[in-house]
Amino acid sequence: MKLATTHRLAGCAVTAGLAALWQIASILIPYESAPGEPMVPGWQIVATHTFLALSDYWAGGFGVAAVAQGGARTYAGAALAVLSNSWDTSLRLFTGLLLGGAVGLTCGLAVSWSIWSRRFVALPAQILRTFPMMALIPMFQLWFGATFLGTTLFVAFAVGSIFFTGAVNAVGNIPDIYVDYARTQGANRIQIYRSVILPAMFPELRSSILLSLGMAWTAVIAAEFLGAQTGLGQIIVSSQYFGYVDRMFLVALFLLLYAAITYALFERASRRLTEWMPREAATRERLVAP
Amino acid sequence: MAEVQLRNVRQVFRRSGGALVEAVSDVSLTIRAHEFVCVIGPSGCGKTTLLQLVAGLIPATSGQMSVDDAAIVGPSPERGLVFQRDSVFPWMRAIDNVSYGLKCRGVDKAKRLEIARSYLRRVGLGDVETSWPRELSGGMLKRVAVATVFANSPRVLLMDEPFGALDYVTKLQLHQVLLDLWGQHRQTVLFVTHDVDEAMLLADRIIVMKGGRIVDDRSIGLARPRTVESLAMPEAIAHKEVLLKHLGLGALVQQQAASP
Repeated sequence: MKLATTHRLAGCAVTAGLAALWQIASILIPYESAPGEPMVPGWQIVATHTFLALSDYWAGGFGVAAVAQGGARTYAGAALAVLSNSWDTSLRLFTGLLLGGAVGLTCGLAVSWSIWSRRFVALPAQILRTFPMMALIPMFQLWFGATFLGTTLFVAFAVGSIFFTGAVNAVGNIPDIYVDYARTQGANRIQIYRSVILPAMFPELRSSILLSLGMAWTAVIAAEFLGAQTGLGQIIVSSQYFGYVDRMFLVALFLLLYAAITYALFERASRRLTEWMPREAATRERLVAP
Repeated sequence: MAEVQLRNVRQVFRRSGGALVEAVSDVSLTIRAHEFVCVIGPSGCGKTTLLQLVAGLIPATSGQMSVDDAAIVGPSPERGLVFQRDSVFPWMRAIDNVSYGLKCRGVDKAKRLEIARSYLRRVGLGDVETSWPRELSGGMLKRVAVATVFANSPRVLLMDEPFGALDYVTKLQLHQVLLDLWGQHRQTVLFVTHDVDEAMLLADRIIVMKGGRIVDDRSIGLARPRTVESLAMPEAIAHKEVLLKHLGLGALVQQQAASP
């Protein structure tokens, strides 16, 4: 049997084991967070009652009436609720990710561009990145309100800090010989950044990108906790008010799925971008990736 | 024409402890156009620093350096450099490496690929143009580096112990590749090595450096093409004895002379 297949089968077995443990816990732990709301909901509840209950978060449309407007709970309404709230959260996440990634990377590259750019960027960026992120959420809420802009900027800030640090380290570790080689062949500074710095730094930046993907999901959900009208984070918070652990658990499972898809897509893209790396190094990179 | 001139060039470094080190001391040198000059010397004698100065990678502390009376103020594709360590970009395929300099200079894609293919063929790598550097051996990577520098048509070719880490056979093959290409283009060459035999096989002239200074400068009149057997000729042996003495191997020379 191939090693990759063995890894995959082992992963599936561990996941199935965890699901079984959860089911056992749901039987052994009889507590309720509210009357009729189990603290540890079993899969038979999550897959039926809980999923159906998510249709409460559908605002109506596409021929499916909102529950708040007298419509019945339906699986179609639940699916639409999941899709629309996932879309809102993803839009905030990916906009913030792109913005934060671009700003963090640009600032990180600016540190190595010239002495003056280093003077202007390095110290302020180092100070900004040390702010405790979660403590900044209320400030972002007050500055920008519970809006798309506020949530997105918060995600961008969280991601940008990681990108900045990763970019500074990655550029610093590029062997000088590649830059010297490019210079002796007539490359100007822009050409050196485009054809030497960016590809050479990517393998090391890769771990920062993976870290920032995880951070982006944390940041967007944390930002949605405070005042957002839609989004998966908002469903978790409103479920908490009523003690709906099962809904919180189901939304968390969706988040887990989305994060896994995001990692898998990035992994595929980065494998293509690091095709040139020696095989042992590429394998090592993948093994240490979260 | 590409005459390289150095006048009273000094290069002083500050070590991390704060001490000043004079890597190149008051070096004056003229390398005539089309001349193949090898610089030899013990480790730390300043030969690589001298090459980096001519490449424009580091500015001289004092003195003047020029190519055809144009001052050297930084790196230029007119002064191509083959490094001691592997410098081939690992993220570019062989052909993209060879055409990189041409791309930087704005040569259109079809033309630069044609030139790159031609040089890859000339160094014996016509069949690996789409390979990644990780798929090539050390000798093949050096061939890519040589093809890259020649494809960029430099007027001066600078080589910093390019074949130092290669095995004997590969080194001899690459000498031939280099001499063939140089025979066609006749660039001015400054080649740094610590290998006396390599210098004798390649050079029109050998410069010996010690302690940052030039201590010997001799023309090698051996007929070309030279072979390993050429090194056994009396004229070659005489040169070699002097060069080895400069490198602190005088005792070895006497020992060899005394042996039957």
